[in-house]
Formats: sequence, structure tokens, C-alpha cells
Amino acid sequence: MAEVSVALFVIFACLGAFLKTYYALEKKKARTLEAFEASWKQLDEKHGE
Amino acid sequence: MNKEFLGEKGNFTVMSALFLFMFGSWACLYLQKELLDFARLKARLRAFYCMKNLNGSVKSGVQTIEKLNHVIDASNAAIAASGIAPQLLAAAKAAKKTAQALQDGRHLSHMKNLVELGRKKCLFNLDAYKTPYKHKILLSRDAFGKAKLRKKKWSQTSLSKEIVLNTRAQSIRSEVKLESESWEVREVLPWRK
Repeated sequence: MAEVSVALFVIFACLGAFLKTYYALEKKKARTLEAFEASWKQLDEKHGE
Repeated sequence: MNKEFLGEKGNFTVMSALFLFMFGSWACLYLQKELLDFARLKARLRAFYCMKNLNGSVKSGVQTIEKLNHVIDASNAAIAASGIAPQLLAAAKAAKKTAQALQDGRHLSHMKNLVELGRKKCLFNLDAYKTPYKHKILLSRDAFGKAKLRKKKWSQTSLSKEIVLNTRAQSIRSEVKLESESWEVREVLPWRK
């Protein structure tokens, strides 16, 4: 029983780590796109377009 | 092999290890692909940012400098007319000097912008670094004291690992017409796929 529990714990821990990394990367992507949009608007204002 | 390993618990442990190995391999490959996509996205966004910044700076710079060239023309006309109206001479000379100083200031601000873009890892073709105007730090001038454009038409290119952006620029009087196009590096260089 203990081995099964340990195995399940390890599986879920790995799955959790994967999802955490995946969502961190998605968040970083979204932040990069937001920063790009902001800098694009800033350039529009700077050069008067 | 012992009994425990072949037993029900052992079987579960082996299956779990196998699952973990397969899932781990897939997860590593998937995250690596995602990281690569993210790096490509950043390179692409940087290229667009660099091109837009350069185009904006060149367009507003050429417009300003060309308008000030008209002021220099008017000042020259006033200096020529000072034979008839001598009180114009000092004001016309001052206006010409101010216009030239403003042109140099605008040009230096464009050069500064280019240095800042270089710091942000923007890479352009040589024409972009030469700038549309002839210069030796300060702008070179013709016999009338006006800033000289190198050519009426020129192109500026933003280079990156992912995308190449090219803008053809044309100066028409005080206006600048820009036309941009892009190429995917992986389409041009198939071995980068």
C-alpha cells in the first residue's frame, strides 16, 4: 500500500510540476505580449502616428 | 528477479516508473518546444519593435529636417533681400543658424535613438546606420546651408533570426512614404526549419 501511495504521490508531483512550469511559461508569454503592445502604443505616441 | 518485484505491488511500481519515464520525456520535449517557440516569438516581436521605432524616427526626422530646409530657403531669400531692407539681415541670419542648429539636434537625436536600439539588440542594414542624410556627426550641407539627403529613395532592414523586415522609404518634398514587407527566415533558408 505504501509503495502505491508513494508512486501516486510521485506521479501527481510530476504532473503538478509540469503544469506549474507550463502555466508560468504561458504567463510569461502573455506578459511579453502585453509589454510589446504597450511599447507599440508608446512608439505611436512618440512619433505621432 | 524476486517475488516482490513480480508481485502486484512490484508490477504497479514498474508501471509507475514506466509511466513517469514516458511522461517525463514527453513533458521535457513539450516544454523545450514551448521555450523555443517563446524565444522565436520574442525575436519576432523585437524585430517588429526595432523596425517600427526606426521607421518612426526616420519619418519624423526627415519631415522635421525638410521643413527646416524650407526655413533655411526663406532665410536665404531674406538675406538676399537685405540689400533692399538691411534690417532683415540680422534676423534672417539668426533664423538660418537656429534652423541649422535644430536640424543638427534632430539628427543627433536620431543617432542617439540608433545607439539605444543597438543596446536593445536591434540589428539593421548598413543604410539604416548611415541615416538618410549625409553627415560627419553634424549634418553635411550644400552651398545654401541646407541638409543634404543621400538619396530620394532608400531602404532599411531589420534583421533577426526569425524574420527579416524591409522598409522602402521615399522622400517626397517634406513627406516620407514608407512601404514595408517581411520574410520568414525559415522560408528563405529551408535548413533552419
